[in-house]
Amino acid sequence: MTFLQPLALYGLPLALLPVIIHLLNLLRHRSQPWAATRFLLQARRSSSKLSRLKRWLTLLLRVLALLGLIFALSRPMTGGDSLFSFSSGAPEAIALILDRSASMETKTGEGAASKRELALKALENFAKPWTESRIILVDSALREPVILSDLSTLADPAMERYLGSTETAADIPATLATTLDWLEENGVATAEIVIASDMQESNWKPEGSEDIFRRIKKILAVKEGSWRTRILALEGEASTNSSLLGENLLRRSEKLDLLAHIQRRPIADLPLRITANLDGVQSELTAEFKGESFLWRSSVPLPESKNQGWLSLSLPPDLCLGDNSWYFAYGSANRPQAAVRADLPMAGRILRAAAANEKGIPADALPSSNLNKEDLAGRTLIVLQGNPRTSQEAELLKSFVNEGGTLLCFPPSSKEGAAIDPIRWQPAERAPDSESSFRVNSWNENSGILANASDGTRLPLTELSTATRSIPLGTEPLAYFSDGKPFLSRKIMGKGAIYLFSTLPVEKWSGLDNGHILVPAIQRLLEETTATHSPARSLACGSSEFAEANEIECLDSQERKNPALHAGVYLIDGNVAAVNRPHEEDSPSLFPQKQAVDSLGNDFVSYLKTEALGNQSSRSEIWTVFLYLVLIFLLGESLLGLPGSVKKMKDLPS
Amino acid sequence: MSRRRKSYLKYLDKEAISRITSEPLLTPFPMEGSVSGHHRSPHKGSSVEFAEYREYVAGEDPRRMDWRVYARSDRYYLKEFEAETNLRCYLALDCSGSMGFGATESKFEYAKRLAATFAYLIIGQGDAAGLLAIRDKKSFELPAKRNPAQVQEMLETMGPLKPKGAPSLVDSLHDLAERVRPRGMTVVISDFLDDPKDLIDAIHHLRDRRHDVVLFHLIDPQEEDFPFERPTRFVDLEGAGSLITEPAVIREQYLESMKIHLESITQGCLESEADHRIIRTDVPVAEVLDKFLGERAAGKAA
Repeated sequence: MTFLQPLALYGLPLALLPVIIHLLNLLRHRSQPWAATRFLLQARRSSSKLSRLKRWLTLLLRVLALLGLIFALSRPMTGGDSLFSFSSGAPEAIALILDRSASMETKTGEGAASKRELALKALENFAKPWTESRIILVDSALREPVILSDLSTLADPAMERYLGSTETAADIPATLATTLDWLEENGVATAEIVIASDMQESNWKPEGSEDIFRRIKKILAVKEGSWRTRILALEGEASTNSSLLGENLLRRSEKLDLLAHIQRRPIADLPLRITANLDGVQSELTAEFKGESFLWRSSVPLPESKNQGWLSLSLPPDLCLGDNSWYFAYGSANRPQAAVRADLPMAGRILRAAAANEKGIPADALPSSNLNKEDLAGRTLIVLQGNPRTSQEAELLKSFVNEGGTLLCFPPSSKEGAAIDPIRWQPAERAPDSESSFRVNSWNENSGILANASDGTRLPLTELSTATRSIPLGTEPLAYFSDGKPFLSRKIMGKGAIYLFSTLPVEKWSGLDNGHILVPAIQRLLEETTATHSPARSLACGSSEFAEANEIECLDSQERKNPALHAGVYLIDGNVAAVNRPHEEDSPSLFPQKQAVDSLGNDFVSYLKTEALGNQSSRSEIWTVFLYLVLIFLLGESLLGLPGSVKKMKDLPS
Repeated sequence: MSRRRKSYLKYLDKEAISRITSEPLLTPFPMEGSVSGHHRSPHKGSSVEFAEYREYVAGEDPRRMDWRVYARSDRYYLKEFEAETNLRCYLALDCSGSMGFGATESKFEYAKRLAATFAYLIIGQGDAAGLLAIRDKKSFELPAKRNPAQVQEMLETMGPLKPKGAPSLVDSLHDLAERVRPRGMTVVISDFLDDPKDLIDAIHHLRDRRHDVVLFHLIDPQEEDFPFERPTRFVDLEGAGSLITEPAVIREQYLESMKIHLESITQGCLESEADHRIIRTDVPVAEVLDKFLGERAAGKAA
């Protein structure tokens, strides 16, 4: 409970007036000559406890009536954190933090408002009673504090840039930190901070934002409750929803091969109609699938040879519009040439053949002497068997990866050479005998370089016999041997990645040399790197790269869209870029309540679920309740003060 | 008539005198007077009212013998008539300190007006009236006389009296019962704040002596209503100290105690056939006496 006129609470000591008057009366009694003193003495001796109780009850009711009157004058309001909060009812500032991530466009039912719209309504209701407070809006997409002149601004179409839907991901800790910084810079003494979010774990970034959370905790603790934080959790998911997440688009000579991940809830057997838009020309595609989740592969013919263009896929509208579309951009069909360097000549031959281009020409061989920048120029994939010769060469390869290149490594056959920090190879380990060779039993069949073929055929990894292996350390495993050690692993570095096989494609090591696994894996890596290095890029909505662009033009719509906020296809400085919602927006994981409150510090943070939102936001004045209480107390006081049985005296004979 | 005498005439209630002079005061009990009057006497006498026939005893006055009965029955009978005598009324006035209480008029002033007017009426109908001013240490008695100057005498006796001291009503009534032999009327005007048991004993004593006992029990309206609200220091008028209390807290108990006290006196009077009358001092004396005499007359007629 808070008070709109807290100054009136200074009058609370006045409630003791009846007691003080009573005591003064006792002191300032009047003298009365009296004859029948003996009856007074008898009466005082036999004065019952009930009479005394009635007297004290009367005093109590008078005190309560005054208390009620003072509370009514202080204009109490419902909706506080505690039963009574004697702090000023109106905070100096109300900071509204709005999660504008794509997942906030989810509607929990037909005809319902989206979570973002619900959040706006709740924020408006929350701030409504505090007319004298400054209102600051900080949205997760722009992260720029905006001072609102009044609450009606929240419904103003002109505020679309700050309040409208986006296809971005949110970084709630960073947005909160920005808000706190603003409040500190502006010397705000008391503030109500409301975070309206759907509590998607990827937006709260529990891993990677530890330092920000620590800072937030520290700031809130220093403020000792004068800045209060409320988390309005807009949980709940759409009952029916289909989502489309683009995985890959490969440009062939006359067609585009696309791979997309489609999810559907509830599970249905009906085919899904997908609208494709290729460079502005619409067509209908049908995805035949059963179940809840599906990797959809399809091809779209390219009518004319274009250097670059775009393709969008859209699902029919449902309760969550934010995950229905995906945009692809395609560039030149020319694939950059891979290059191979191997310590073992046999391995080198096999790897060059596996990394051959579309025309079957084997990959280039890199010189066995020290590499220099020119050797790597224009390359997107380097296949390396063995250690770099020197540490300079290791640094050169590392910077190649950091700048977006892909390095595919195989174990060294000797200990000579330098290591690409932080990767280390364990010594070679041989299987005890041919009967008990190392076997691969676990890998991702849906995506990645070991995924099933487009017709669903699995790569024959289980049939791969590995006699010798060398395990890389400091990497992320992607496929496992049966004893849990990695067969294939990856290390993301900068804009690129290093893939590492734990065995060699030579007879003494493993059966990789037959090409059944090696060829598709290396070819897929080539495709990936081709897409990465294509002038047609794929970017995440809200990416910081747009800030540096000089000229941006929207290609998929006549509307003036901003790639920092909205997905679509843009011509950025002459190159086509497909801008989509970040992949993490499709993650269903929620940030648990306890963890959210703990992250911000328990003391001055409250957590409100969607269903409690109405109650919390519907703050209303309740002075009338206190006025009724005053009347009840006064009535009780009057009843207690009614004269007793005087008629007893009148009954006497005269 | 001196100014002093003039001032005491205020105790004679003119309204009562003008309303009641035609109404004689009667008593239901036989009285023993010194002269003939219109009150029933315990002795047989020569009035016109037949009393009884009684057999003649040798030595009695043969003039009272009924010769007609003798002629019819050949036996000697005496025809006896009721003797009628005058009334000797003692007005016992309580002069204790508690009688000084009164919001507008003190109970003592009211008692003096009641006693003076009552004496005037008694003497006016030819009966004798006396005064017993009961005080703590020294009571004063004015013997009953029937001459009109007695009224003046009583006024001058009562006039300067002030209520003072502790109550000594019970002892004085016992003393009165012992001293006054001829049966008569004893009118006690007091607030009767003494112990009811002792008081009833004294009334029984008077009744044993065949006195017609009338108690005018004076109560001030404030004593009956107890209208106090604020904390008050009650100072005892008879010197028994003071008491600070909250009237609202003890009000019910006070009224209950008073009611019990009054009921016990009323009950004692009923048992001893004494006439107990509770008089609020805001009721005019004329009304009190009118009602009293009216009921007495009705009782006699019945």
